[in-house]
Amino acid sequence: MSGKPKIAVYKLSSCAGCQLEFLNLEPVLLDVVGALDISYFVMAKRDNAPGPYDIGFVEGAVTCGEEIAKLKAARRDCKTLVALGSCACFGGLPSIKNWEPQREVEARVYSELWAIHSTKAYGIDQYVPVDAYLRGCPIDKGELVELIKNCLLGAAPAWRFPAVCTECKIKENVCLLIYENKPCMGPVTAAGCGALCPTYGKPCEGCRGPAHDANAPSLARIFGDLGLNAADVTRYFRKYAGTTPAFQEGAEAL
Amino acid sequence: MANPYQPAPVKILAVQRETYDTTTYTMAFTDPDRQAAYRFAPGQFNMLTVFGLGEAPISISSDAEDRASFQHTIRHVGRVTNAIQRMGVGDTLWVRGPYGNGWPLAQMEGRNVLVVAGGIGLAPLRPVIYYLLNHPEKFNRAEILYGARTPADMLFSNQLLQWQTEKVKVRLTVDQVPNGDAWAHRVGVVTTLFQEMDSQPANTLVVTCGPEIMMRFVVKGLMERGFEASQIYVSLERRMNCGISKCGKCQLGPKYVCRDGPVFAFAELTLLPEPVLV
Amino acid sequence: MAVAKVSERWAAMSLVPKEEVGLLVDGLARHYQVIGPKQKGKAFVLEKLASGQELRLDYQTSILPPRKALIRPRETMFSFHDNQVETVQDAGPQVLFGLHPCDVHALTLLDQVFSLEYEDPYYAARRQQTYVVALNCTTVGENCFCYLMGTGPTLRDGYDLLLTDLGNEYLVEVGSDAGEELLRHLSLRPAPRVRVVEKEKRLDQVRRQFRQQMEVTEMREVLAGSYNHPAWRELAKDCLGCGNCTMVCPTCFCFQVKDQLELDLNHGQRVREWDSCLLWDYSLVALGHNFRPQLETRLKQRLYHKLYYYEDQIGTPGCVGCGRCVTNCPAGIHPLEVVARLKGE
Ligand SMILES: Cc1cc2nc3c(=O)[nH]c(=O)nc-3n(C[C@H](O)[C@H](O)[C@H](O)COP(=O)(O)OP(=O)(O)OC[C@H]3O[C@@H](n4cnc5c(N)ncnc54)[C@H](O)[C@@H]3O)c2cc1C
Ligand code: SF4
Ligand code: SF4
Ligand code: SF4
Ligand code: SF4
Ligand code: SF4
Ligand code: FES
Repeated sequence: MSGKPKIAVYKLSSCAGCQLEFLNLEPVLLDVVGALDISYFVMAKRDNAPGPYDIGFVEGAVTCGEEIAKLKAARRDCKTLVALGSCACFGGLPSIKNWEPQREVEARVYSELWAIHSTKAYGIDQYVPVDAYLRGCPIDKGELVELIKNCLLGAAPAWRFPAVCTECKIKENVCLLIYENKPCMGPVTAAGCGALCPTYGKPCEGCRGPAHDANAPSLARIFGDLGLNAADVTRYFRKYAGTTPAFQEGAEAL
Repeated sequence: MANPYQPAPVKILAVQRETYDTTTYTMAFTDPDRQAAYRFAPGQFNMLTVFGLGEAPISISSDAEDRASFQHTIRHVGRVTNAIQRMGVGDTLWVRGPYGNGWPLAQMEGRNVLVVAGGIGLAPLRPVIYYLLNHPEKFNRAEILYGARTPADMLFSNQLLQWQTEKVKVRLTVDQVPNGDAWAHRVGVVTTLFQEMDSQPANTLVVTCGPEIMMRFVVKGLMERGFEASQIYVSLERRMNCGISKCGKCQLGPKYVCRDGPVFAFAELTLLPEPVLV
Repeated sequence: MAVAKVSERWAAMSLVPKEEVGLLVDGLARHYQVIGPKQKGKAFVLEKLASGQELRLDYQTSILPPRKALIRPRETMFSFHDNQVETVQDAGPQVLFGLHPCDVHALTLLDQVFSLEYEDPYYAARRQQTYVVALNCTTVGENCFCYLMGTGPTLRDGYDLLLTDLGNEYLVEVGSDAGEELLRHLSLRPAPRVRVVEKEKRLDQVRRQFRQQMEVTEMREVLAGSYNHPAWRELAKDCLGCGNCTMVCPTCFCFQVKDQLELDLNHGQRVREWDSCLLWDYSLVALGHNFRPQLETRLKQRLYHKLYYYEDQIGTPGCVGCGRCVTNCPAGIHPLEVVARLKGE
């Protein structure tokens, strides 16, 4: 990439937590700003430049027609399009509603139903081709920086997505599944967060979606052995990434 | 203590484009003493570093008797190899090696040699071909079968036919000929050349390299023609992170492909519990 | 590490009262970094001991094996910038205190892995400055099967000092000149002969606690003919491919190498991290070709490596029976049970 790459950050249906991580880059922010031209970032600045951009980061799941149009425009405007966070990758938390009748969900959230035309919540690759994915709820800052560096180098990041357990073991955490009988999604969830939750004593909730070649049905059976009923197990697998084939298998295993 | 993981700088001396995605680089260690002391056997490989992107195992594709420089023929497919594509004459790469065992040259003495190559697989076999051309007294007759996807995908295209001598026969084939391309040789996968080759099982040593699936059909086709597993040598590709039997990645049964290979007699491979090329 | 003659070693046997074993750690800590077992929640870890009071010699096993002190889960190999490369070495004198016999055996296996043909300079530098104070096992952990693998519960060599629990005190034996050197930093009471006899009695009792399920040679035979056994497919349905078993294994050595670049795209480090053959992309090469795409083939790689290939590589089975993989497998996969299933039991 010649010159400073132009960056755009878009928001669809999301909590803005991932954009916040962008701003939280504090210690490296200066370096990033030095290397990048942040052209469009509504949450961070007032004067936003029009496209085209080199790298576009899209935060949030797609949940309605207007968002599909916004997303397609982003795709047109950006050379490289990145799904920023689990919502944009595979629906994330908003996708919990996908398995309940649509009108019921809407009725619970909105009072004036006629204005709402929401679709199921999907990741952005349901509608446009995506070049890179930053998983996590929220994203991992280290991975964001890594992606930016690779864009500057013109290379695809050499990422691997084994189970969170691999990072958890390296931290030498006392395993919550084994020692505490707590349902931990670590064995089927993609590493990259540094086993954040287990390190703080909380079971992994699967926010980064499935690890490569995850065996979700086996973990579902293990959860069953811990005493969880089928409906609970299904909820675990649908919390963030129920739209992915791997977690869908887990959700339907018992 | 010398650190075997630490590469040394080499300068790119020449760049020869082979196909749309493959390039041959001539290089030499910047330290002339190191270059003078550098020796490799045909079939061995180096680990090539582009700092910041990583390391890749690449076979040496030049004449082992050329001491002034060495060559790598690289297909640009990923992080390291694409970065190398952006380099040119005078640029610096980092190299350590050579590693691996190499082809069984000593066993060629007094025998016929059949070379079967597919695509980029000709690169690790070219040093063997140079050896055969330099030492006609070291073997009986040789035949080279080379297949590529299209005529434009042929490596070393200006050399291929020059390799023909009284003792060396070259036969070429391509999977397909796009409209308008000139092509005076065979069409079909490399094993179709078995129908016209002169090589017979008796007293012949086979060396082959190419994509895994191609080697599988080569081995199968030759065995059907009466060749024995012990006559056929294959060069295997595996993931490699060290090249020196430490990182474990290239393990195949108890073997390390980086150290005990990449060249194996097919007979050795049939003894492993895990199936290879079958 | 030259081993002292047996007669001298008898003379060098000594005793340390249980309540003073922490002082031993403190004595050594003046000269070495002392790494030993300490409690972490419901489990134990081998870590730098801040003082002898942290030492927990009653531990069953640690989460990560002692290899983490010799090849770190993640370590920098060298740094680079502007066409300069500098090897990064962080080795210093260290004592691994309280290692069980299985773990000491594992170190002797890794010594070979990391020195055969090419010597790994990082491992070698640390190993040269590593002293092993081993501890014979007087209780048997729930998942231990060292006795079967011939690696425990007692130790014959591979240590500098060896402790045995005799009830109120530990018997201390010297296994090397380096061990004598360690003792010089401590003041211990010589052991009367009867205590040495008592040691043998106690260890015999421990050995009797094991069930001899299978011979090592039999394991090899079973595996040799079982690569296509249908049980593998069933096992792969349970295995999560999570890699816990290899992370905790004291004889696993696989690592991946990668470059870490700073934002200036000039300075950086080449680092290596523990890898695992259970992971999907362990055998992945360029253009997406994967030599072991199915979990089944990866699970086989691990168990064949431990119980079959390793022995061909260095002459000793790659499993020392420490039981860590059993304890840490969410799917309850046990190497011995796998072999038993292949045998048709
Ligand atoms: C013994 C041997 C000889 C080879 N000879 C040649 C040759 O002469 N010419 C040629 O073009 N290619 C050769 N290859 C293949 C070449 O090594 C890969 O194409 C190259 O590693 C791709 O690296 P990359 O960073 O560009 O690709 P990426 O796909 O970005 O690779 C990322 C990382 O994955 C690993 N990796 C990926 N593919 C391979 C692979 N095939 N082998 C080992 N590790 C891999 C490496 O660690 C690499 O750094 C050879 C491979 C082996 C094992
Ligand atoms: S706590 Fe969870 S993530 Fe950590 S090892 Fe156990 S199962 Fe895996
Ligand atoms: S541990 Fe699990 S839930 Fe927590 S951040 Fe990591 S992937 Fe997300
Ligand atoms: S720990 Fe168990 S479930 Fe996980 S990869 Fe190993 S054998 Fe499979
Ligand atoms: S395979 Fe299991 S029991 Fe054997 S040494 Fe490794 S962790 Fe211990
Ligand atoms: S191949 Fe697997 S079992 Fe063997 S050392 Fe490597 S990670 Fe461990
Ligand atoms: S490449 Fe590392 S062991 Fe072969």
